[in-house]
Amino acid sequence: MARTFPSYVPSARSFTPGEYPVRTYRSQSGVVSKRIYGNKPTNYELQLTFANVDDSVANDIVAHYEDTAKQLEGFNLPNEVFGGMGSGLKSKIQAPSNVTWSYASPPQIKSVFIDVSTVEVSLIGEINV
Amino acid sequence: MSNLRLVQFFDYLTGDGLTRYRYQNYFVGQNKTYNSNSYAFAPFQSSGSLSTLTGDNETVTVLFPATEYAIRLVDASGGNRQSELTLTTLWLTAENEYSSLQFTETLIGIGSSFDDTTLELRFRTAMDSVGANFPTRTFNRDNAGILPINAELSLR
Repeated sequence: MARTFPSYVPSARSFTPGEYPVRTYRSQSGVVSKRIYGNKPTNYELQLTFANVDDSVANDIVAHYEDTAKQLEGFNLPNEVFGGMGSGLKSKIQAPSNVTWSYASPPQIKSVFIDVSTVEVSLIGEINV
Repeated sequence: MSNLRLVQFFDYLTGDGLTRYRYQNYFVGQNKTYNSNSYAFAPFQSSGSLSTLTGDNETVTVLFPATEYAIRLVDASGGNRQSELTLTTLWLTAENEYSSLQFTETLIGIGSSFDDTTLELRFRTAMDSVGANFPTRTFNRDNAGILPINAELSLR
């Protein structure tokens, strides 16, 4: 497992729970049949925004991205990422069963002022056994 | 609405009869017991015809991601030749319990292929045994002698 995501509190979070692997067959009569292929959901999504942070924060996140991308391994999310969130919801997002978090795309960094940036991070949680 | 929950149990005996591998493809990251045997999780899928009216020689393919354990399957069985596969498909209840509905097919390995992401094991039905050569043999040096390096075969 690669090193834990940097311990910064985001200014915004957006979370989408995982989906079960289901294929739907729709007949010409409109009757729907579904087949499920596994007993665990996958493809969780988490977007984090770190608005107007010091460039050192952006630098830490980019360094973490570079480390984990080359290792092709997932990572843990520290408690700070979930600052202000209820414990029940936090437990569903932080460590779903058999799921590891990784970057869905490289972090996006917008410079807003001298030595100040806004960082957008898009993460995906996938089953890794 | 009709919903399907199917688990497949992959019970594979290598061609030399010495090693057996057991996998299931539904319960992620779990070992499941079926018929008193333990099956580890592996993300495989099978496709192809399992039975026909004439009962003859249909090809079934089982796809694995080309990971270490899957390549070991091929390695251990000489390219998946003359291995034996018992593939059981079992219906699950809404609570993911085994139901009584199932079918089992016994298949014989006829070869394999892989690329950088996928490993394909090919099998034919055991009904192939009614043919002249049991089990199906692949044309190789053992049954033909030294083979030419081009396509100019002379049959005498």
